[in-house]
Amino acid sequence: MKLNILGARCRQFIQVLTPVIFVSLAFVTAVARAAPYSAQVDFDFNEGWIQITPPEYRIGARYEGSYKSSGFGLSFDVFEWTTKVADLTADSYLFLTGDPDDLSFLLIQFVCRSGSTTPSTAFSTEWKIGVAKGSLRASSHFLQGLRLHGSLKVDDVCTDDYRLKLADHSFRTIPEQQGAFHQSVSHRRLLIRWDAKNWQDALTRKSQATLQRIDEILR
Amino acid sequence: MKHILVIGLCAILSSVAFAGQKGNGGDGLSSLFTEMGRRIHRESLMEPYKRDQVQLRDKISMELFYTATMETKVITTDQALRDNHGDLATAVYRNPDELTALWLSKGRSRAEVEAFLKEFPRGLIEFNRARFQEEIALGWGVALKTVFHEYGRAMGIDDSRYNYSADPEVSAFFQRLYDKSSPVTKHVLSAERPGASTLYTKLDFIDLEEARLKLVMRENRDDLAKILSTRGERIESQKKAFTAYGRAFADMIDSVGMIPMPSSSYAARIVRKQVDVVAEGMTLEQKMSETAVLDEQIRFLNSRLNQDGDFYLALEENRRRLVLEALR
Repeated sequence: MKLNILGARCRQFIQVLTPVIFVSLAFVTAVARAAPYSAQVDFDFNEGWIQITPPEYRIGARYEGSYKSSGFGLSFDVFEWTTKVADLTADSYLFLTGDPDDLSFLLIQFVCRSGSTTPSTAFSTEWKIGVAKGSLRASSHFLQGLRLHGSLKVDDVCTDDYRLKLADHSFRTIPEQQGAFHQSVSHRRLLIRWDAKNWQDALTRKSQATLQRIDEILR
Repeated sequence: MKHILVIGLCAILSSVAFAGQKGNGGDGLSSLFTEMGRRIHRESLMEPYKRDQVQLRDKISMELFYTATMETKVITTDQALRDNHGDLATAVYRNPDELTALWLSKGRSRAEVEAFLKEFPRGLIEFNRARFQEEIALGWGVALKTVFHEYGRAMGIDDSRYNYSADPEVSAFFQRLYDKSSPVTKHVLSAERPGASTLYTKLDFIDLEEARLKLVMRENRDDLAKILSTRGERIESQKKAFTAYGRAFADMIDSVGMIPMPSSSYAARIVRKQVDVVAEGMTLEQKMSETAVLDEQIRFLNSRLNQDGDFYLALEENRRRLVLEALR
């Protein structure tokens, strides 16, 4: 197994990992349609949808990242992926909270090596979108060692027990409705939709109720 | 029988007044002082957004200001008052520690002091009636300045080393605030304020309070509806800008072949900063964003309307009880 890691920070990170763990990278982009190994996130808040296409790791493929701008202070390197990986949808999870004007979603993907219960790769991307306040925050994390569900650790994630416990968040068995959101997965692509035209945030709903109450008092 | 009825009404009105309009204790002039504080708060919070100008609400917490008007007891006196420098003053503020020390030295029990501070955790403002009325006669700007100064101290703003009262700019600021204030503010400040102790005014008190509440509620209701509409339009345009920006960013990544790498916090900061700039068009670092101002205005109006609505219904209930009592 060959590891080519982007950036000095990752090199340092990888040195502490055990040899059996294959580490991918967590990438954050605003809308990284061009990036072959970044989650592709697209959205339209007027129409009311967010579409997330997680990276697809092809067996034996070689992935390269090129960097041409000096303004962003980013690092450049190339890495090669030669390990066989299973279907990602089996081990991809979505944790969605908030409302359409102020939502967070956490996308966690594990790459479980075929024929093994050892997780090869774990990464997550967390998005925090505050449309009403005009802010967008995204960050990525490596998850090795993190306790995700009760006593389970990342090392357990490729077990059926883990998949069962997180069935409500799994790409394969995600419920259609989650609060104001409608969630669906098709061809590895996750689509989150909501009724943007009729959506009212909590402040608006409360204000409408207040207006109605005061109108009744003043009548 | 009539006497008992009046005493009962006094008790009811006192409890209602304290529930809805804490801080004045039924004294007409102290009630005006408190109302002036609340109108300064309202006028400052509701002032239209000025993109290129730092406004009062950018400088002080409006929420804290409002809390100060709710949690500070205001009383009047005919005795001369002196500030920390020994100079004659229109009003003095005593924080909980100062008040506790003063009252204990005057023989009040600790339990009494604690009970008071439970209801008014920000202490006490005492002002001289004659001097305050003189200030009102000089101009609302002068009197409003005194009110703001005292509530400022209740908020913890220590300006004791600054010769606040001698600065004509400060009076001019509050005079402008008054001049630009809403007709309702001017009406409320000028309205008749009966004292709660006079027997014949009790029913009048309900009438006057209800009339005042209706006026204030209509103003707040109309402002809330208007601001909600503005906010709704703003959020819609913000969504468009937000979506367009995201796509433009993606195109930029496409065109330069650039991929933000694992320094995620750096990439996130870039994105956040650019989106914030696009969405808010901020030019002054210390200014509140327009959306934040709208949100705070809406929260305040909601709170005020519901409080006033509760108070109005309580007054109505008391009026009903009184009529029933009288018919028995």
